[in-house]
Amino acid sequence: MGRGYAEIVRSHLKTLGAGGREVTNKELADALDLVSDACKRPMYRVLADLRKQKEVRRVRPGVHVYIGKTTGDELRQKLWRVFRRLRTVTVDDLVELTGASEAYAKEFLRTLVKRGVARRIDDPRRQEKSKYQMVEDPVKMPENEEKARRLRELRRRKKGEALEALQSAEMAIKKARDCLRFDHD
Amino acid sequence: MIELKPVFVEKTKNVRNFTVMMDALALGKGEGRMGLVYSQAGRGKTRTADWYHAHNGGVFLRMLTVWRTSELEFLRTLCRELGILSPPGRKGPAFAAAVDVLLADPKPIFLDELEKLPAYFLDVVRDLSDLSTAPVILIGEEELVSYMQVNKRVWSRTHQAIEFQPISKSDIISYFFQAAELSINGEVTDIFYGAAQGDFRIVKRGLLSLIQIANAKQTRNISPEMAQIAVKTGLKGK
Repeated sequence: MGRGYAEIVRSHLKTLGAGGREVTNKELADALDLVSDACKRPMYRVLADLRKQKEVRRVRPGVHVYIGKTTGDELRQKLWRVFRRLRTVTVDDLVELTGASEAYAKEFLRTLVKRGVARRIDDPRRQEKSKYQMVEDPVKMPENEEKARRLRELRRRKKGEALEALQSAEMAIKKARDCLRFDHD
Repeated sequence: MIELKPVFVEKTKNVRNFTVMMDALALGKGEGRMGLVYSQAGRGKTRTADWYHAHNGGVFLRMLTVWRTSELEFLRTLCRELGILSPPGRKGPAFAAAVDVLLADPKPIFLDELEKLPAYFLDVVRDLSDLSTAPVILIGEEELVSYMQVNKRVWSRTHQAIEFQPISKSDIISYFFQAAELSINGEVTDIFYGAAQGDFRIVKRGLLSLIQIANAKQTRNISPEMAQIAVKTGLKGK
């Protein structure tokens, strides 16, 4: 199902679930004017996607609560607040308290380890999940330098491509002008 | 294969009361005010405050026993939490620096286990709230109530006080469903409810044991017998 349909489902969820109200699948299907089970299937797929993205939460079978989209920056701030408050965390702590996905929380912690803010503690004698301990408190959340570098690189490449396209366009225009001048002569 | 997902169950009476308390404190903008959250250990006070703090910001400090003899360490830690990179080395300037930051942005201050420290810390906290107009939320066990009530000036500024209730049967059902997608019947719920005696940590341990048993039996249907075994192995920590 395309992005357009997900947007429609999302807008109905926002309206029906305003103020944290619980939304039943039936209410959502009624709002979308879906009657048969076959018609409702794409709606269920969108709901499953939104659940994965933590945009909605299933409170019990057939009932959801709309939470809303979280931008990457907001989510990183939430992760940083939890990490700074607890000082020693597991990936599960971050997932539980912020609602981030496990992969995102791991990536966040890996970045902190790379930046020298955290260290990973593993005890091979215990079958416990890895813990991450704060070793230095920079007070402000460290920026994700790797991502910033990738974005800078992307912008530089795009700028180069645009300049190249401009140059070839200028050359083509010059060539066309020369041809026209040649015709006039 | 059943797995335990790390989830925070938001739809509980305690979490709802906590959120309502924070909303009510936000209404009193412009004046010093305090909130109180208390109960026995294991009811989820600190976890709920952690969750709220993660999503809404503010400052969260767990009071340390080593601060007993000096307010300076407390004030310097508070300054750092407020984003002051080099907090002043004396009490007065450190207090003023914290107030300055909070005046510009009166975010909530959560203080956990204040009752461990001498009573004069309450006056420091009251001054901080009065001068900065930031809401201060004190979290602790039952003795925190009498600790605050003794200080009339503090007690009169306590706009909201909530006691965290023992975990309910519906909380157990929600938690089992959200954390492991397990639907449990009334009999199984009763077994866990009776053994936990209101303590959420015990329920969490019990669910872990139950998942191990269910995975060993390769079933998602939880019988009362399985719950009894989980209670014996998990809940009582044997």
